[in-house]
Amino acid sequence: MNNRERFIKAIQWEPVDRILTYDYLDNTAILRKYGGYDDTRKYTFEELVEVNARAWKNIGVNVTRSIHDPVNHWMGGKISNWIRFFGADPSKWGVSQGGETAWISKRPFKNLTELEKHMPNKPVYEEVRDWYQPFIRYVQQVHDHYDVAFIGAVEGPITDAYSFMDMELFAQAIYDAPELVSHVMDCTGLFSAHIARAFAEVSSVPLLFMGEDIAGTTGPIFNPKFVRQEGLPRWKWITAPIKEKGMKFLYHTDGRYGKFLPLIFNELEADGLNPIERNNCNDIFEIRREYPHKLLFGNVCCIHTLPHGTLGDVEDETLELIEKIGPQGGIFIGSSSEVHDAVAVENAAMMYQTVHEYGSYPIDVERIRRRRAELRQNGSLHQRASEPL
Amino acid sequence: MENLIKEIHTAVMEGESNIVQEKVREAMAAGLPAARILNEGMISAMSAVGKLFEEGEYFVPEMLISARAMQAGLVLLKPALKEADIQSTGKVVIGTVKGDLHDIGKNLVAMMLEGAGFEVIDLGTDVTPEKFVNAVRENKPQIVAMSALLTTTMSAMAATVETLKSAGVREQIKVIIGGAPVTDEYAHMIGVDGFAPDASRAAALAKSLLAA
Repeated sequence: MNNRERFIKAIQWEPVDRILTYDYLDNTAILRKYGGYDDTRKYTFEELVEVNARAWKNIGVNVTRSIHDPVNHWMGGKISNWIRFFGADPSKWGVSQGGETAWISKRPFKNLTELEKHMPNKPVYEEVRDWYQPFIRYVQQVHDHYDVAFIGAVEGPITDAYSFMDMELFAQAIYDAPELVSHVMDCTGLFSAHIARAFAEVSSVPLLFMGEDIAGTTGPIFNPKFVRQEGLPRWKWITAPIKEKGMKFLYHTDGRYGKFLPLIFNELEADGLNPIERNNCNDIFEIRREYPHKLLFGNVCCIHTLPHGTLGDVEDETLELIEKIGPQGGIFIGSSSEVHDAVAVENAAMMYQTVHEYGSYPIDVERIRRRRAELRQNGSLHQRASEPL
Repeated sequence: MENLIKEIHTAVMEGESNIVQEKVREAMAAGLPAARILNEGMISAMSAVGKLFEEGEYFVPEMLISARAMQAGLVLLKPALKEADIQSTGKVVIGTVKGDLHDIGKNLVAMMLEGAGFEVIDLGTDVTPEKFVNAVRENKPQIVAMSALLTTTMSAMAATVETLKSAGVREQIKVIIGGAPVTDEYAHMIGVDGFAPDASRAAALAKSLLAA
């Protein structure tokens, strides 16, 4: 059985032989060490896909949605899509890049009056399909070759709308010009719905991820009433073609999103969550207790444990997930959000190795507990030294 | 008179910039002291907004439009405040640290600080330690506030603290930090004076540090 087959069974809650690993890569050192990435040369898109797939295979990641490009930040791709599918004027938009981040440095509007003159057009399904389907087919094919399952991903309509408008203008427009917000969200929602439909028609991996960041570390960014009124109906445009084909839908928001879980699970009927940030945000064990039939993707902490912990800390946190959630299934272990550049390659590798070493079914809980006790006794823990067994 | 103050307070809380301006004009014409309009009408409203944010009743958009409404009123009040020689609560130099270009969190903190009566010098994003030092020398603030959204840029906070120390200005100021990956533990580790998990608490922290 290959990892795609395993993944298809696992997301249907069918028995599999082991827990799978999942992650999002934003770490060039891993690409170098495990994918053979060479900083001195230029890569075509096809080559980059292959380097990524190879890196994941070699470090032990089974499922992903990322193609990390150390040179061109993904923000540039976002603008290209707005130009291509929303009719945005290429001369009036620009992206700047610095360090490991990028930002929109040029927009044709700074206020609502100017925005009104530069409103996006609604995207056309056939145009989105003709661009997206060859892309996803190719990427899945390459990843298949390396035995990595590649899931689909779309941006949420709220997130894409505030990226387009800029957060401050978006937030003000919610009150000052709701009709403009609504139109922009129609465009962003339709774009993602078109991708979802195109994905559902051809994908060999039956799971679509939607990134909709509606929470921060202290709670919701937006009023839940606004999210329900403006977000939920458009999210359903995206889930409809996925559900029609019997595929699964994964909801993503950073931050502390507990207040939104009834909306995400009960009203939207999402099948799972990613990421599940720790850092005082979410408790994966509590979420599993409250929603035992939802898929969970995560959650070794990428704020503390992965960048600052010892190998023992990483191993212990991974073992805890295998021990407490693994036996019930429906977990795909990886970082709590992404493996970013501050994560030591060895720590990332330890996380995946631990899943491969201890994640076979039936889960040997006693062996895991012995190992966790040993890590405590031999002083391997630093950040997690006070965490009880 | 009392009603005007209440109306300004309500209009700030509801983010109604035009009403704030209208009522501030009326209050000034009626002879209400600028300091009273500021403190009882506007600063107290922003303090209530902060509390509602902490309690999960207000969210980022509500906070932003309230801050904007306060700004609208402040523009009208500023000449009168200057004339009456009303001092700000304190002066804060704020910026997102080197390598980090995210500004929404930093902007919210700046707005809440202004809402709490502070004078804010906003250095923007991707601010080098040297730029923080120069701003301290130039503006003589009581507080330096640093923001970082990325785990990869948090270390620039520690570097900035070190640069402030080696430039000999660290003892003249209080340093506070915030941002998604930042924790109280990290604040202790790098030796700053405080950490706030959100914009409202940042303003409260700044006030408490000055009062200490």
